[in-house]
Amino acid sequence: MKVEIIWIFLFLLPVIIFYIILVFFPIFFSFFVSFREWNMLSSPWSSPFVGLRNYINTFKDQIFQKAFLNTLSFSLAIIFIGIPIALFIAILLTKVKKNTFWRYVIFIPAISPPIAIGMIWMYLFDPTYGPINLALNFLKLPELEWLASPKHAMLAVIIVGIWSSIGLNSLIFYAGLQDIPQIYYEAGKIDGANAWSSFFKITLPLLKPVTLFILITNIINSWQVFDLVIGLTGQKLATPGGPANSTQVVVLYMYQTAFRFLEMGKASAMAFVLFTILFIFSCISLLSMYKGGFENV
Amino acid sequence: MSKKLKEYIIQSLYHIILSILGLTFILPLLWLFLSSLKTNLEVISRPPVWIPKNPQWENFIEVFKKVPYGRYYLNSLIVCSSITIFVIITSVMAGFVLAKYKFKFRTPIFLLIVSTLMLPFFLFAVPDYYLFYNIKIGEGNLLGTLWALIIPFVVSPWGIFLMRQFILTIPNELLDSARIDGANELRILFQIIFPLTLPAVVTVAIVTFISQWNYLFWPLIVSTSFPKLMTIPVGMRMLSMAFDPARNQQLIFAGLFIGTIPSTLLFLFLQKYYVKGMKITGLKE
Repeated sequence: MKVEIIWIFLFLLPVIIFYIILVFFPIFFSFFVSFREWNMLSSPWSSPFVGLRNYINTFKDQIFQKAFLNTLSFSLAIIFIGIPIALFIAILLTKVKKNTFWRYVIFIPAISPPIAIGMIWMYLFDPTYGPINLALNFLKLPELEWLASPKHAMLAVIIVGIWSSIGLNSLIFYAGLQDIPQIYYEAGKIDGANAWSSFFKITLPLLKPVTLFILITNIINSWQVFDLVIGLTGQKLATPGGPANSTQVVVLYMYQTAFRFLEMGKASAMAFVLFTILFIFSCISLLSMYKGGFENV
Repeated sequence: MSKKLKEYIIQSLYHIILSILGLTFILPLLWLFLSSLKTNLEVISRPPVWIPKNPQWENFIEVFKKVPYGRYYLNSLIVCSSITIFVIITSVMAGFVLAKYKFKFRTPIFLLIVSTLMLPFFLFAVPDYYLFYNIKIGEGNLLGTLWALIIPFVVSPWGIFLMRQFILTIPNELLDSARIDGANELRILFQIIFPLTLPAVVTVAIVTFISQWNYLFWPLIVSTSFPKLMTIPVGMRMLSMAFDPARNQQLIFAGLFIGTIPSTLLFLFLQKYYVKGMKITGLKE
């Protein structure tokens, strides 16, 4: 028994050290700094204490408000448009007999670097040379300025966001669909269920744990959108998040506040605001996974 | 209408819908590849040229000549491989302990690790920057070395979770009989646990490698102060600054394409494992 404790300690040692230095300390440090005015150049420990000023300034900051609303609409679009499309594609995949090739095709955007995806789409959205406007022109639809105009830029970001979220989601949905025993559908058929009622009465209820998982990971990931916006709007010397902050998002603004304007206190306050929102979602996800996963092990 | 014919028509219909949808996923990437072989005139022509007349393969060489893309590649390879190796070691060890030993704080520790599963990295950016800047190494500090890109990711809660779930399925009798034969715990770890969990290890490895290869946020922060530490995603960002998009858009495309190859290839060859890893975190296995 004594020997065992030594092994337990040894095997867990790297994880324990990591959590103390690189998880607990940073969280404490962020929290500490969020009440201080600190610019990274001086010592944080002797920096002036400013109470809740960083938090108040964050909420008052119009760019932060803009970033918050943009991120919110980005997140909502992925949840209410992206997830249903992913489910539709997953169902389509289960109906098709030889689907391996299509599974590859749909998944490849999900493993490509988001910065590269952003930069490709920046070109596709180009008002003059971009294929998207050329296609709109061909279909006799009005061409848009897309990323060049503050009016449509966020729309372009949202479209790309939805596009790049679909691959992983539909693959997880597909796996979940395959776990539903065929016998339920056969029983439904005998009871006279048509395609619609078996979708709403059998597929959706049995897919609930999977849907919940996808919902929560997508909320958390979409609130952290960063690479995509840089790729789409950071051309040449342009400041990412433009034009005129129309595509500003929370993590990008936090990054700029910390490492461009050196306002570490305010950036930490922002981080904590976002962290609090996401922490609530993490707890929900933990509970849902507890129900779905651990109980039978 | 015969049943077979009806079935055939329905199947073709599904294939047509899937083809249209699939096309929207593959077209942008196909466009990227074709455009990286174009001349500048072909890139900016309207109506667009789809297939380049004379594929400009030297575009790829040009990228390596004009920006230190080789350096970025090497940095990315070192960082991603190191993180992958560390993640495997720490995940297997912690997963083993949390699955096969009984001790007082097992459940709290496990729950703690799982609850940090989705901890966003932006929370750590400022503290880690401060921490690494103040750890002196020789003349400089830790922030100026590749370790700064590696250390924050050497432990993965997801990896530990996945390995624990997998190790739980190994029968205890196997471990006990090895113990009776006099094997110590380290030998059990290496000679029983590790070989038996190899599929899970591959899953952890490939998911870690690909996500790190694509990762921009932290390397961008570090390499703004230390440009020699740029990785491929940061290098991609640099492409639009190094090349004038009006004159050299095709070189930007070539650079993006080269940087996208490794993760895509890895996925194509090891797709089975990748998908499995994605499933295990979300679904019961």
